[in-house]
Amino acid sequence: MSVNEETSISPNDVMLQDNQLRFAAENYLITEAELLDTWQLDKWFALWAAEGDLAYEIPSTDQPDADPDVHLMFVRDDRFLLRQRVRSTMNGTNWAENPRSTLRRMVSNVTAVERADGSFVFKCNFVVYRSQEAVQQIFPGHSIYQLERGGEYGFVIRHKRSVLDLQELRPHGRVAFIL
Amino acid sequence: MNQLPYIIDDRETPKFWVNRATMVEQEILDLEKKKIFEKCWLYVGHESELNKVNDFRTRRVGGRPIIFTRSATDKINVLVNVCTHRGMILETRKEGNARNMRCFYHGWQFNTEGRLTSMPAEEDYPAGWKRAERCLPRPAHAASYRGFWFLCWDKEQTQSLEEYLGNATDYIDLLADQACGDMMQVSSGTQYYTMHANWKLLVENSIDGYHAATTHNRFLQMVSASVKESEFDARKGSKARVGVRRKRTSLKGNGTADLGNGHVSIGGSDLSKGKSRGGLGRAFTDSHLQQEHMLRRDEYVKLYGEEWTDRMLGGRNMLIFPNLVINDLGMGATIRAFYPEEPGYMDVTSWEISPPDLSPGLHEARKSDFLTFWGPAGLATPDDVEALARCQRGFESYEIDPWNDISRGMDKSEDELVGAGEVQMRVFWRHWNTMMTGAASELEAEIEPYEKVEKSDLIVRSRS
Repeated sequence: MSVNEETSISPNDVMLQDNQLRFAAENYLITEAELLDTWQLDKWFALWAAEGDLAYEIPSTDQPDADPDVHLMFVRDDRFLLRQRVRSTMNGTNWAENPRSTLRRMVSNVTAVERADGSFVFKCNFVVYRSQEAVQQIFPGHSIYQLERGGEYGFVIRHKRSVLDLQELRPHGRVAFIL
Repeated sequence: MNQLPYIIDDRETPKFWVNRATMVEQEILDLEKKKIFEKCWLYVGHESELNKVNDFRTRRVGGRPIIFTRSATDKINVLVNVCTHRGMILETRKEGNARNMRCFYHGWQFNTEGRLTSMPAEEDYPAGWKRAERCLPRPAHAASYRGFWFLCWDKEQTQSLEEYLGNATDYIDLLADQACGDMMQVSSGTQYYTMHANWKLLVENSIDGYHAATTHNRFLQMVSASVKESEFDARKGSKARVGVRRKRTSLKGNGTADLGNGHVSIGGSDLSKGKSRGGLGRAFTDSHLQQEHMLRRDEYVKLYGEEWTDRMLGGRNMLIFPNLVINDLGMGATIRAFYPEEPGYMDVTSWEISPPDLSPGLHEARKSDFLTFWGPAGLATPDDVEALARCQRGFESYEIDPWNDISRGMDKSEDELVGAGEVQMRVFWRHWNTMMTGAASELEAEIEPYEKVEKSDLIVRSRS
């Protein structure tokens, strides 16, 4: 089963969803956005499940529904690589983000459902505005999260897939910050 | 226009300087289009992107829209993606499968061989008008070497593709042979991105052996952390100690091979004898994967012998002049083609290529390792994107100091170098200069040209 099928939410689900859960999801995603925009990446990394496998993915723009076993993606980090991504961004060797760009993201269209196994699926749309010197770039997209109960903010992330709603990474050229 | 020479190739001092105007001035880009991109064989795509009949891919090659198809008769075609009626772009999808492609403007329809198969009111055309004369046009030449398809727009081109590739075919073989007689497979999932830099900066960068230590510090931190982690795992006793001893993959210097016609490669043999995947990428933390990798290596040795296997599994960066890079770093391989849109802006397209019959575990590791380094969100490529863009910004001052310095290692043999040299970039620039000025250098080649391996003695081509 693809990530999309596993996490699909029908319009009916949206109408029937637990508003309290959605409220909690919105709070969570707003908190995450704030940590990313303010480059508090160590704190952001603490949002992830502390044990077991995890995955942070960005599909390539021509395969938004990518199956990581089949398709080449842009990002496919496990715990080790995600930690490296965070560490090198914080220690200044991520040159595309040194000096750091100014980021601001809007998170909206949040949906949240609890699954039979007690895990959760959150979805949201996002737009990240990135400014560096005279250049401003816009990264529109949507994210799909699989989470579990726990952690400081009520949930921990097990899997996050951020899909860029772009057909090509042009003229952007790169995504060196975390979506 | 800047009146200084494009390059200074001074063998007395010695020094090799490149004029930054070549990266900045529109007149020079216009000349490059005429004298290089209109003349050379240019990369179109890999045959494995078209696995089924009537599969097609559209892209731009040398500034023109093309369709790359596998026809209903199972032949690969390179067609111009423009309706012969009124010149509209015919196929607008990036990829797909279709017996016919129909121009929505007036309904002319072409098959994947480029034949005009139907059109409204054909009867209304004058007597003597022939459908057959209105097939999709083709580039002057199209040909392939081991699945890699190229075109040439120049009718006067007298060199066949194989002649043009020259000694570079050996280096394509080093990759293609990894399929053990089958065809290498390009993965679905293409990286379309850009760099705000002159295209020649990416040529230099792709064959630059020593920027890694500084530019890709981030990636190297990851590699050394992965080694530590795998040693830690090993100490825990849960897994065998595997794949963590890394050695330099290249001999001293770069292992530079001047392949002729401006093609050049750097890289070396696999001194780890299969214990690491080309010395880059993550350490194997999984003894089972390590075992599979060694089994794969054994298979190569059986087919091709030790020497060729070592070369196959050693990391290599190759430039096929002018704009195709095939980098095989053992842990994965990328094909990258790029075209200038403006002096300071290029479109880049990258693909991943693997042997088709790798075990699922090895294939997954390969795709994952690819992404640790390459691509617009990897742990290395974005730093190249950034570095080249900052060079381009720096070139705004080119009239104050017009010279880039590419002299490193000029008075030394590769064995005498402490680090990596730059002769490979000089090979590129000399050929570029010859094509642009029409005047071949009278100076002798800096390094001995690479000599092809006599394969009949060494290599069995396929499993059968």
